[in-house]
Amino acid sequence: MKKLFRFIYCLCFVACGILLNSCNNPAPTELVQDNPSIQNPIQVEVVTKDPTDEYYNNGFDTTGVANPVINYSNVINVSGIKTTENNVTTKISFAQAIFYNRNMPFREPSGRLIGYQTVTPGKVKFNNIFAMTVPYKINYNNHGMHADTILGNMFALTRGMMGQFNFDYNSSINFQYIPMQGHSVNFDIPTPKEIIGKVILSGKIKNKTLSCLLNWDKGNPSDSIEIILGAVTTAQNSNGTYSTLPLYKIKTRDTGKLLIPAKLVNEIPQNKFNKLVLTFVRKYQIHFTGSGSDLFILSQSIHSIILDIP
Amino acid sequence: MKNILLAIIISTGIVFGQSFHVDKVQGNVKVQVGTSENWSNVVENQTLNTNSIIETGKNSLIVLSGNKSKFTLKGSSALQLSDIKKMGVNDLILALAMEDMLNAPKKKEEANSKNTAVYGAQINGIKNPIVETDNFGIKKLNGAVQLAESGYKESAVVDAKNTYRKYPETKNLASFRIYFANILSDFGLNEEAYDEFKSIQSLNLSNDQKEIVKNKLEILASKLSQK
Amino acid sequence: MSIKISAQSSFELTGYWSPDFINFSLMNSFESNPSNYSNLKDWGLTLSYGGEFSSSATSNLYLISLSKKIGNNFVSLRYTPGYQKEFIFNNGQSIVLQDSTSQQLDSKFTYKELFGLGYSYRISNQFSAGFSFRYFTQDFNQEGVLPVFSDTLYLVRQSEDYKANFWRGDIGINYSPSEKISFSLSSINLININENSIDPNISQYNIRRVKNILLGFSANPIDSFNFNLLFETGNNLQIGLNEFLNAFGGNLGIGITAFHDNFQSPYFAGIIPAISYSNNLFGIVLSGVKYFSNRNIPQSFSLFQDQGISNIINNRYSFDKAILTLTFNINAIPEKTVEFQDVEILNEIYPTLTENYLDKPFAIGRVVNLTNHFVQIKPSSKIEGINNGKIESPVVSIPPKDTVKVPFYTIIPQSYDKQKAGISYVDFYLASANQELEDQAQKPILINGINSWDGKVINLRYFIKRDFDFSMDYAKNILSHYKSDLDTMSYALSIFYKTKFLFDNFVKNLVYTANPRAEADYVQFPHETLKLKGGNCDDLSVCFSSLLESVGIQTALVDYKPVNGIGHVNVLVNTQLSPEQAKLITQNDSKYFIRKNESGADEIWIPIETTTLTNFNTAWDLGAQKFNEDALNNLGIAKGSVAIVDIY
Repeated sequence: MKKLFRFIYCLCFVACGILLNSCNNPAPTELVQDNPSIQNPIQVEVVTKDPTDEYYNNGFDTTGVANPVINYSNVINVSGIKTTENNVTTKISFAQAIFYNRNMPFREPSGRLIGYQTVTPGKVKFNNIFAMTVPYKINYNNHGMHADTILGNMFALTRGMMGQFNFDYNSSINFQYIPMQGHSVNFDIPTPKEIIGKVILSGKIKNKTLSCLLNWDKGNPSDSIEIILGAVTTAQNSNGTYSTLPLYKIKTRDTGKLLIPAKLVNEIPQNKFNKLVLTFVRKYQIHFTGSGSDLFILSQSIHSIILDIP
Repeated sequence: MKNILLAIIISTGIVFGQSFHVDKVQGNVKVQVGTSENWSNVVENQTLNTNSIIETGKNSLIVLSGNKSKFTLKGSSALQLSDIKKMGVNDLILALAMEDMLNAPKKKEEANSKNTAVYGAQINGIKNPIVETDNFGIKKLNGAVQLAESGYKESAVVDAKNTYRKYPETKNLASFRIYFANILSDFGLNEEAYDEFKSIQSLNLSNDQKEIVKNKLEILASKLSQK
Repeated sequence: MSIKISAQSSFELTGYWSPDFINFSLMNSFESNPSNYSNLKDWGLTLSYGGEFSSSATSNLYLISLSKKIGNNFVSLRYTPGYQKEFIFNNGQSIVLQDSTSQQLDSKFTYKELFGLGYSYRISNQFSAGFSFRYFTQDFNQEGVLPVFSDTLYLVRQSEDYKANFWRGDIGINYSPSEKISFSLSSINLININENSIDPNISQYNIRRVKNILLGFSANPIDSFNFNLLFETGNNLQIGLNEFLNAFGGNLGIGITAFHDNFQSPYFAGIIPAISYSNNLFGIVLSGVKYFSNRNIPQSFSLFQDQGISNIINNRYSFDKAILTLTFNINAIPEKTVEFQDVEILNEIYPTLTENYLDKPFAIGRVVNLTNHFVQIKPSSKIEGINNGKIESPVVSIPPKDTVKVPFYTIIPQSYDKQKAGISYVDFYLASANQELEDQAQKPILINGINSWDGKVINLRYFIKRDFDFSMDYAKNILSHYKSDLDTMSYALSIFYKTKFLFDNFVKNLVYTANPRAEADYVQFPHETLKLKGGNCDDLSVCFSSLLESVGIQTALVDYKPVNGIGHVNVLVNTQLSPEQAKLITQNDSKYFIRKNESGADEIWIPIETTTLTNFNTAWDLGAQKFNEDALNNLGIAKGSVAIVDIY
């Protein structure tokens, strides 16, 4: 009888061994996100790859023009830009049209394509106001040194220049191109609803408890808006200014509310930056493609808020 | 003294037992009281305790009264006064049974280590002394017969049996044996009577006695077989 | 706490079987059997292994458990690696990589019941009660974005873990008024002990733990058919039907269980068909869980967020399963053939009465034969403090199913010398013919001191014998003073005179006698009597008898049985003289009497009253008087009021 028990014991342990080695976990159940009201889906993208590189300074500024738009042949951009700092909001209206000569690329010494030569054939009008021809200047990295160059001219119009151009929200801006020969081209660019942002900061970055809650006047929740989180350097530039570096672009639904993932703000090095710049961008963008040429139209409502990092 | 007193208390029943009055004494009558080693002469009007034994000489006689009766012991007899008592047959049976009870039991085991140390007598020393008989046993049997004749039959049988044991030579007196065996038979104690007659049969008997014993045994055997 | 929305708790992968079956084949079923009661005999091992049919089939060890029964206590431990449920969902965040592709960030919630332990106690054949503690882990893993500021700024996925482990404790009671019906009552989620403090963002995803009560009912209205119902006060229920038949030397069963869970649809969310086979050594249950609704469809996050889960192995996200459960009854306790019903201690122990216990049982056990055949058992016992090993009593044969009285004898070593009485314990053993222990019992017993005596005169012999060495030395010493007297007298008279010399010298050394039988239960050994210079009749008779016996003089004790509570003992001495030699020692024929010795010869015995403390002749006279009166004239010996107790 004892032998039998011993046999059974052995059998039990062998069985346990086999079973323990041959099991895998039960399959998980995948749940489908079907509740947008609970939490916005957000998409985070790094804007400035090198936060110490001044090259990017002009790639993005408070005008909200994200650099570079080199993927298109022709770019039309109209923006209503507000900047709030110390509770003072200033607004500028801005319009530009850039026509690239895709046959003449411009590269950094390292070989990286950073733009094309531009051309300014004919005249451009925004809301029946002639745009000025201004130099198209870009900054680049020349063997670690900051350099800039003019790649040609572009059409531009700001409220400051002529005084009468105004970016009307939730409306449209008429664009007219008058070539040197032939018929002029004329169409309306719709403008988005004005975005009015609000930033509520709480906690301290020192102990990594800084939380950044954004509110804005909500639009159509199925549309998305972009929020660009940038920071202002502590150190002065050689010309005595302070650089503003865009750090992340966060894309989310236009629901009027977003809590920035805490890590995104709390990981910002305190020794390098002392101000946050939160830029709300509600935009329409249209891309036409034709034979051998294309047109990218961007219409934006931008609100940037500059705050000290607590 | 205290110790004696204690011992007396233990044996209270003996001291305050019954007594007999000596009505008449003729010839040589002696008495031995209790455990005394001595005999003394009995005189008339003397009071005798039941723990006394009286012995009469040849042609002597004593008349006792007590226990609401008179008792005469003739010559050449001996009697323990406590035997002058009425017994039931049941008591007789008990008394007969007691004889066997007194015997030492058969040993359970042989291994019991009896101490073998011997002090005093050497093994081959003086031979066992033979004590001459003084016919005291016969006198006791005479007493027992008179006891039976006076109506104390049960007591007489017990007395006789005790006498056979203490005075083994009296066992050979066939006439006494037959006398008392008949009493057993009369009481209907057939088994006991049969055993007794069977024992008597082995004695040196006269022809008459042989005939009597034989007849008696046949009668008793038939009675026993009817049981 | 809302009872309305609670989900089913008592779900079992094997379905719900009759409690009898659970008792033998499905141990550690804490879900439907929180009292954890089992009829297991010794050790039990259970393994559940099975597969789950989601979009891909996986196999898994669901449960491994070990159980042990100790008397009426039942303990079980189970490890349940397969009791887990995992949810994966996109948490709404994504990262745009350098190549403009985006990467979604996910969350993974893992719920596990890791292990449990249970204890139950059988209060009676009808009632058992118990509790179980189960340990659950909840692992909430959420991926988030972490920016890294180094030479370049880039984003990495970082997962954050929140743990919310907890213990759940429940109690239950089973009641079986008859073999055909049983009820159970137990708690659901009675005790919840959280191991971690829970992040408020996460707490809504915790396993829902609504307190409820589970009521069970099981009946077998017809032989071999069982109807079982489990009702939870949260309005969930299970109905199980089992049918058993004897086959292949064991029990073959089929069962089907239908269950209703508030959080699953349709009304009966699924069924658990099962077949089983069990015998004394092992059991196999093959069961399946079939849900009536399709589980391989996209499941809504918002519903999950709203209602969560209450049960890890059975919820609206559970997949169909097939499970093989193996149980092993590892019985290291051999099957009992006999059993004590009770043991009665007949006598307290008087250590001096050594051999007395060799032929007189000190205890009687009532032993029942549990088998259908004759069983031979070897009873033995061990008295703590007296025996060093087991003392075997005679082998007893017990007819099938019969109950017999088994006597227990013992041996008390001569060396035992404790004077104080005390309570000790006796262990009684019943061994089979091949020496395997079948049953044992323990009883308290009073062990008296060595001077204690049970009042039976026959047992004074042990006090007489115990001091033989002393007595012999003492007696020899006395007799040596009379060497010349003894040498010159007739050998036949030497015993008589030795007795006389010994008595006179013995008495000379004594100064008192105690009240008769003042301490009936206390007897002095001869050396004590001589040292104390006195004693009562028992002590003195013992002492004198011992002196005589030690030099080979046969004695007996006369037991004058108590009249009015006071008994008496004195000594008879065998002079070994024949009746014809009586005149050599006395002229009075009432001072001696005749006993036939074992070889049939008549011998003269004389009674000696040891308490006289005067001299031999007085002691003899008094002894004779009392003997004649009480033993002979009053027919004491025949009537039993006086007994002659021979020492050998």
